[in-house]
Amino acid sequence: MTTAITNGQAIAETPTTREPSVWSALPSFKKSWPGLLAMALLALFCGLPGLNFPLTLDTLLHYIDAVLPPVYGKGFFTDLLHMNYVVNCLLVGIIVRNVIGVPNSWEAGLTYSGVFMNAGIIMLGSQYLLSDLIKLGWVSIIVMFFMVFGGALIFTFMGRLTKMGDSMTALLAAGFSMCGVSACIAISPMVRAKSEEVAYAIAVSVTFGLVCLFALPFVGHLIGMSNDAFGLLSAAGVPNSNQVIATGFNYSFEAGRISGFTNIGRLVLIPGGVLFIYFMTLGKEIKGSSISFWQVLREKFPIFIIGFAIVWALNCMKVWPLPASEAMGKVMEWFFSLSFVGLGLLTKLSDLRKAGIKGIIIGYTAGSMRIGLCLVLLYIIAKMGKIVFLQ
Amino acid sequence: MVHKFKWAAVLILIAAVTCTASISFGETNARGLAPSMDATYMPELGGILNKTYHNQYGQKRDLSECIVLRGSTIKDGKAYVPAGGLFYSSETSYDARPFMREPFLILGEHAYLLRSTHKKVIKRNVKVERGEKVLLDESGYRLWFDYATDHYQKPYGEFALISPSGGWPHEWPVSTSFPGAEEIKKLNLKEGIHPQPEPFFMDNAYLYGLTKIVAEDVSFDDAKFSLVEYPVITEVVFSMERPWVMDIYQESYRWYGNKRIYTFRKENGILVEIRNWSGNEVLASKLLKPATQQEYKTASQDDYCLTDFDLDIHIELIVDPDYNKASDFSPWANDVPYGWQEGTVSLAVYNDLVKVEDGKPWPNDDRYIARLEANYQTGMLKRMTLENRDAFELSNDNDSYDGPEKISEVYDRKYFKVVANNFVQDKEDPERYVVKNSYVRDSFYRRTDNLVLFEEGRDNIDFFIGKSPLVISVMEDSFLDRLADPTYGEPVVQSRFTSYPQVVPDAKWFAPDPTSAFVPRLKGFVRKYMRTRDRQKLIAQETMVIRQSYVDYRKKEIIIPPGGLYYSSRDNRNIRPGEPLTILGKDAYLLGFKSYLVVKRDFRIDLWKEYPMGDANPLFWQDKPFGDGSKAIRYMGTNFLLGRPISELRVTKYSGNNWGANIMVTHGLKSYEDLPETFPEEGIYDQDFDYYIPDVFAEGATYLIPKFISPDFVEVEEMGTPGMDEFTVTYKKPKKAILMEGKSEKAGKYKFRVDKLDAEAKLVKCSLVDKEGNVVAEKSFGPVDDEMMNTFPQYGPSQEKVTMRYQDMYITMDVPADLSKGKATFYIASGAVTYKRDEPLPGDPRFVVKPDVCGHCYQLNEVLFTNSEPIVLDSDNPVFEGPDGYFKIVIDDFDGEAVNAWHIETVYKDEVQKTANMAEFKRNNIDVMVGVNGTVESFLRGTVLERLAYREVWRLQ
Repeated sequence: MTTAITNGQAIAETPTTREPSVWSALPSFKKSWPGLLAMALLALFCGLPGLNFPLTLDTLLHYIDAVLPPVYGKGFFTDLLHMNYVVNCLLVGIIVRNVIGVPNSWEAGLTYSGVFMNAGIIMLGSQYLLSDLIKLGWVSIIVMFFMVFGGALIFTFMGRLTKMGDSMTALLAAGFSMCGVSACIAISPMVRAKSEEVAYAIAVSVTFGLVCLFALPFVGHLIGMSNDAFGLLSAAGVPNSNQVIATGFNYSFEAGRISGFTNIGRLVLIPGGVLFIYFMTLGKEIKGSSISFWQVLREKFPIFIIGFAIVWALNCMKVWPLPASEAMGKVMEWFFSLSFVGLGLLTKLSDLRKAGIKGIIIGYTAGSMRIGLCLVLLYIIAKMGKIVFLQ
Repeated sequence: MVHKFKWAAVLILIAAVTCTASISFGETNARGLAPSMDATYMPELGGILNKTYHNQYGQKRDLSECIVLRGSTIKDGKAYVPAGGLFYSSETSYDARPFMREPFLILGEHAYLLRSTHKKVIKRNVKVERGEKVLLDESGYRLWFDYATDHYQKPYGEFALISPSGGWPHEWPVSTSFPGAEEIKKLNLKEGIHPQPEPFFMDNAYLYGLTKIVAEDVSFDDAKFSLVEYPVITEVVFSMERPWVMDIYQESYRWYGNKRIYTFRKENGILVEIRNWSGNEVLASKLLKPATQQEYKTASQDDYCLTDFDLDIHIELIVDPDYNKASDFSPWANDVPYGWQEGTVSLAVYNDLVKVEDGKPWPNDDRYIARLEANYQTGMLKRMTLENRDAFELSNDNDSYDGPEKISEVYDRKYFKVVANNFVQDKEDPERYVVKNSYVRDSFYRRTDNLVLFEEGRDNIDFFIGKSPLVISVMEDSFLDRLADPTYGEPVVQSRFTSYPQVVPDAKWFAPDPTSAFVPRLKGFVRKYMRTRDRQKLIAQETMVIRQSYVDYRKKEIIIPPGGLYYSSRDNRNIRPGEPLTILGKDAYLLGFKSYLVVKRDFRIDLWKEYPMGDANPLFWQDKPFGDGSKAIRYMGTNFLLGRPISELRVTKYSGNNWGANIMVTHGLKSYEDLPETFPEEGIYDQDFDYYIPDVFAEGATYLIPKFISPDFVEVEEMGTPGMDEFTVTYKKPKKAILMEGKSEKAGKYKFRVDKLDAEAKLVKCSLVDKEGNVVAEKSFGPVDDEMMNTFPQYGPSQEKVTMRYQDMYITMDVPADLSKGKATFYIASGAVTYKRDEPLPGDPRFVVKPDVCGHCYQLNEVLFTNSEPIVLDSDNPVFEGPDGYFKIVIDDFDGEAVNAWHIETVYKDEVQKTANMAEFKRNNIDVMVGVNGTVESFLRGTVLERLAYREVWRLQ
């Protein structure tokens, strides 16, 4: 109940009932501005895409990469460790929170990170075109389809077997089965993942990709795989895009090109894969509760996913021209930058420690299983005479 | 990144060994030479700059830096780099002149050119052999005899004057066998079509502003020049700081640090005095005249500036500070220029002066020698290089060599460092060492990728780093090999998607999109050696080009406008009657053609300017069509010498390819007729800025006589260039017949008979007889006398003298003919097919024939078959077959806005051959070049820097 002052007298107002909205849950701007400003400044320091502000972490990492010898043509930090605007924002947020500390006045503003995340995910739909799959050829489509959805099943199975939390399972499933960081971002609000879980999942997928960079070519040479087969293997088995391409180039130039090209398929399947994992998680919830599927869906289905699906569908139908998609991509990057700074600022290392090494073990085991599965799949396709498996 | 690409490596190695043998083993002076054929090109290293600045007058200057290493060899585990082998280069897009606040980059610092000292070098009796780059002096200037070709069996050559850095503007044609260009004025032809005139015009001199070469004798194998004259700059002064613009009341002073600067008006200038802090002691003074932008002021620079190295100060008067508004160093101004009403004098005051002398050590680092290269035309500063003074070696123990030390505002440091290590013995040849790791670091420690791109290593450490236009001339010998190198496939550039597609009603005269893919080799398109009757080797080359195609996203269609798709067949030189070529994969023999001279009089050409289309494709609307419209004349650019506009024009062919010669004319400067009878002795002289640019252009059969030249348009009094209406070929190899008098040979259903052979009159009378013995045609071949031979084979009437036509038969007598033995040689061809300009291609009316004639010699230059109607491709209609189904354009994936996958395919030996996906990155057009011939080479040459640079981006993607 609020009061208004009229002619010096306080008059009590009757409480009004309002339709709840996403905004009503958020603190007022007056309370939030310190946190919002902190997020904006930290995001600026990390390197907001499109701004030519020179003193950023992104610039520093690019500089260090320019000083260090390239690894198979790729920079160590920006490419291989995948330290892009998302990872940088998350890292800086975590460091600030756990080293310097976050004043109470910021807390209200940090709650906006969820809104920014949702807005970014809606924009993310503009970056994927289903038609991109067509040019890959059916062998690549089958491999990618199988590895995205099959990989998600493996992770879900492993997660349930080891009783890992649903949200962490979903994050790892998304991170490993599709493009590591982007897929983690997309799935996180759907499964209501905590910030530390997101950071954890990203870290596991990035380090696994780094191991793959050196281990997979070794395995490939041991088996004597052809460039085609290895290109497909690295695209399907390695979590992050730059790591995919670097792993391919580590093997051979041709394999690098094929992996880069085929990787598109995995990216295109992100929306479908993310929804697939989400519904699997939802299915478990429904199974464990007495309420109906539709009731769960109505209560728990995130509204922004509809926005994401609409944007994705419209993009696939080419409702707007390509420059508009590119502009939406830039807007998306801004939202994600702000959001991940916020998430970082909400992440306590102690919480991260609580996650233990279970996630790492599961991630590495299931990731290796995916690669094994991919090898089998490629071998079968080769037996059908559609690709050459061995050199 | 190291890769194993065996066959590409072998090819490059062979090319490197054959073409650079002289560099590697015999040549000790690397100056003026290019890096080896397998030198790595990397467009970017953080500290190597490309900047665009403006001078005081707002003229744009694109500045670029690069680092080049050339002439290196590896022996006993050490890389040896000769003196002058490693150099840093900084250049400006046009030139830099004193008194214009011309910006220049010096080891990454923004500097201004203040003063320059100019000389001219005269070389006499220079001999050069074909293919040789003869050294003119030890500093590295070379004269290159690129190649020689013939007209009327007489030679003319293409020459280039190479500066020490390896740069040269373009090749200059010179001959001593033909009438000079001035003779063209005597032709005085009316507008219209004329038969081929007999004279072929080419001068024995090439005049290029302050540079001229005058030939004494040019043969097919060597040439001798009585004069080679070129400008040099012996000294320049730069300021490493932005100038102070100082306004001082007359008869008064203003402070400059701890000094006072006074100005006093005198009857013939402004007296400028620099006094000490108290004003009592005059430290320096000079009467200055206001400097304006006319470059003739460079001849008397002392009158316009006060330069004192002890005080580290240089002062110029600014005539109109309003000019500053377009420059980079002061904010723009409006209203009446400041000072005009107040009576103040405006000075530009510079400090941080650096004097650089040609051939002397760089002031900050005596391990490097400075070289100052002039723009050959204007004589002004074009490029500054810093080259290693002494040879050095790199090995595993001593693996780096520092670049020159820069002059910095913060701290002076080495601008770059060359590193090479991991020298190993070759496994197969223990005598041979290769290097496996080599890179360059900039002054901020950033580095390139490993410059050794092959796992097998390299036997030199040559490289070129930087996006400098210098790469175009330096890489002249190897650019085609580099662009055609299949190691990384065919690079595809992502299109720029703009709101509106480029739509042209007709693609004639247009080049393909500069970002179009280039497929150097696709089986099915012929590229092979063919022999002429006299056993000369020609290369028959087929290509196909798509240009000006676009996606109409409103209709979800891919459109190729009329003329947008063409098949092209050329030999590596123009094709003369009797010589072989290929047409749509079939061997053909040229029998004849109808060519003529098109003359156009009293017309005006506007200066070509790029209209901002936003997608890098220019739009031409100022071109003037010539004759039937197969060619156009285009005003490419203008610049000034002594205030006179110099116009540069080009004849653009139907294919969009520019005819090779640069048409450069002006009025009011010295021309051919002003060349002195005798030339001064060899030596270095003060520069007199005596500019030579002809007032008439004549090269071969193309000529232009201007009436009035302005910076914005050229009024032409008379211009002529050849045209061609038709050509005739046969697909059956002509039969050779050596006949004596009275003998005959079967010619189709007739008999070809020699009736009379008159060795004295050099005449052979022949007839064609049918089965019944009736004479159906007669021809008197010859006389094969000197008069005829002096104009053979290019002169049409001379060809007519030895050609007999009847129905589909062409019979030609072989010349030169030695009739003294009572025999004559004939070639009997049947099955003649005539292809006429603008008429449908026989068998495939979707295409029309466009023969292209050589602008020099009236011979057949190129056979083009092009679409006469727009070609529309969409998802329902994704395939289009080329002429006679010779190739197919296949759209694999098109979403209505972007082409996501498409390719070209051919059938070769019953197998389908496909290019890679030409839209691995999204494209909004399907422009492409498949195969290599002169036309495609010209398009590639125009975009070589961008394409070479992009290959590195592509490699890393």
